[in-house]
Amino acid sequence: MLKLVGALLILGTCAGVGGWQAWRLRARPRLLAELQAALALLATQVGYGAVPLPEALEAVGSGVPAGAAGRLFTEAGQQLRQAQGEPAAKLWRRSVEKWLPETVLLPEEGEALMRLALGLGEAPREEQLRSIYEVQRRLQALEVTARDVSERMTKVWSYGGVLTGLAVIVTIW
Amino acid sequence: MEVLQIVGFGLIATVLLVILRKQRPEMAVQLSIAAGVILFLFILTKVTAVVQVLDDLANRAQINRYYLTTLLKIVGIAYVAEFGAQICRDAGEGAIASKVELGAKVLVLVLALPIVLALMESLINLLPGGASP
Amino acid sequence: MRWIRTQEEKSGSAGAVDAALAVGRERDSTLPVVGKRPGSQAGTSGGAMELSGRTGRTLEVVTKASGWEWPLGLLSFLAPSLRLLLEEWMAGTSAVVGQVGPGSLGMVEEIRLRAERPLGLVCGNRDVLLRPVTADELQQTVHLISACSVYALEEEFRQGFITLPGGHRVGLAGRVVLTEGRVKTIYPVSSLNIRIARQLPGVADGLMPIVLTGGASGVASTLILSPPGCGKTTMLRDLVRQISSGRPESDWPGWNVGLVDERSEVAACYRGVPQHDVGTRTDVMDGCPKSEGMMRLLRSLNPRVLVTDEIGVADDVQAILEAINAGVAVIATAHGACLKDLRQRPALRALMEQEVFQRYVLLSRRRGPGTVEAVFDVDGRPWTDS
Repeated sequence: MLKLVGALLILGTCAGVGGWQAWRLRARPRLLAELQAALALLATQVGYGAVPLPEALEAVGSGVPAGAAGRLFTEAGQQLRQAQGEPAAKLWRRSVEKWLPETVLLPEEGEALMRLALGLGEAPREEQLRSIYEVQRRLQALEVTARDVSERMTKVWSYGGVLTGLAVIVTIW
Repeated sequence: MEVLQIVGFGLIATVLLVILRKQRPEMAVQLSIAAGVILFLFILTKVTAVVQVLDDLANRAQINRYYLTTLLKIVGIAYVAEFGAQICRDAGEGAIASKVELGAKVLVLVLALPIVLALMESLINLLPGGASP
Repeated sequence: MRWIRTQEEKSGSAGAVDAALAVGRERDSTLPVVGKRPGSQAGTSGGAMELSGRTGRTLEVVTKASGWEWPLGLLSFLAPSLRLLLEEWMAGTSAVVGQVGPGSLGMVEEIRLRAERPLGLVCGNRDVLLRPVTADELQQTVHLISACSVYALEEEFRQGFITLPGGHRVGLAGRVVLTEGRVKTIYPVSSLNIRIARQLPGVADGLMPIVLTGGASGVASTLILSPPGCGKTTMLRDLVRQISSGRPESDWPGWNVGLVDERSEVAACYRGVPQHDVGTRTDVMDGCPKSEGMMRLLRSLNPRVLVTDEIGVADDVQAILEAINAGVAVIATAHGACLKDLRQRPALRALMEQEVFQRYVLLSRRRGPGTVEAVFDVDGRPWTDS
């Protein structure tokens, strides 16, 4: 009886780990797509509305569907509002650094996002928009890669988790 | 039953390998090796027991221990080489698999040579008028 | 405005004013004191807004040891270390020896920040220099003022000034970036001049009876004429406020006013919202060229009075004529020391010849900024109350 319970536990854990990894893989391209949409919204705010940065970021944060992407922009907007003279670039980097570990993104994807800091709030409109589009493009490329990886490895991880669990059970039965 | 454990483990490993090989062939090779080693470890105690029994038999039959050892070594070489060669073949490296098998064959020959020579000598001694006057 | 107290005063009784001022300190002629007292030399660097012979509200600025304070929120736009510096200076706890304290300087009119040079506090012709401002502090201040959104303030950077909430104007200087020979922006900014805004409600009290004709036309088209620095804009601002909000003393209910504020000086809009009180029925076109602003206001906002600052070119004349034809009164200002100056300029001469303005008001600094020297009627003759 105890053996059965133990076996189920092992199976559950392994399957869970496998499933969690699979979920992360699927969530990554989704988050990257959301970030691109958020950046598009930011471009509108900056380009057409000439909205000051704190308000623009907060507007983006509340404008996108609730999720990690929105959180980043809302947080960044708040940081800017409470700024005491620090340049926007520094505050953006700080926000991304704080936000990144809690998401499914890889470090290089976070790096691409950090690049938005270059000239943030200090460049004239055209350059600012160009910088936003640049980051959008990078994220798009990363999204394609992530989607590809996700399609290939999701099954591996979810099956792999269950099978590894079974193998362990069989081994130590 | 132990056979169920072995077969079960083998099947699970196979399914996993099939899934993995398509996406990450390099990981599949490593997993294959690992599964093989684990399966072998399963039966290690049994193998040890068999070797022990053979050893006893040889002692009682008063066969030179050396022959038994060599024989077992040859069997060992054959199995290990086959294991390795098959993994290479599964990974698609047929040429390397052949070389592994070739190496095994040569080693077996080298190991067997003294026994063959000893056998030849025994035979020659047994033949009538075989020995030189 | 927290630091202004007003006192109703009839002409001739200056005793109350003097008593209020004698708060245990000696009279300092550099204090921005405004008040009417016969026979005394009223504030030389302050402003005496009065109309000879008429009662009017006068303003009085009472300063004690540091009886005035920084306008609400202004300091939050400065770098934290500078904020601390100014607060310490205000409290008199500044550690640097030999600095002039707030009491003897009077109400600060300008805060001047220059990279690697001492911070300056200006009042009239006097100033006080505090410790040098670092380039970093200046950068931080620029970030705070622009809210890190230079792209949103492109026009402001191009013009060289930014308006803060409260109406304070920040002038910028530094290295200019040119495109095709025209100024694109200023980067990096190396000097800031924060002009602290003060609105003086009531300065136009004396003018109101002149401008309000009381008949069906209600408001007479008026041109305010003065040399620079005579309080023209302040006067205009108060005039607009009273015409728009109403004036109970004259039974004036208040009319719709359209204000074209090309240089953002009259209303000092911050993100489109006027920071000065320009009246409850005023529509402001901020930063808009005068002629275009006037046309737009005329067409869609139905003003009964159009107000603009500093006219002088043919386009302005065109727009004003259109307004007059539409039955809208026009109040404007122009540079000049006398009516003859007007006639020298073709555009304004045309306006005079067409009898556009019914009143010409001449301002000077004779008794401080905003002194009304003379009032003329449509023909250029001294205006009389008839």
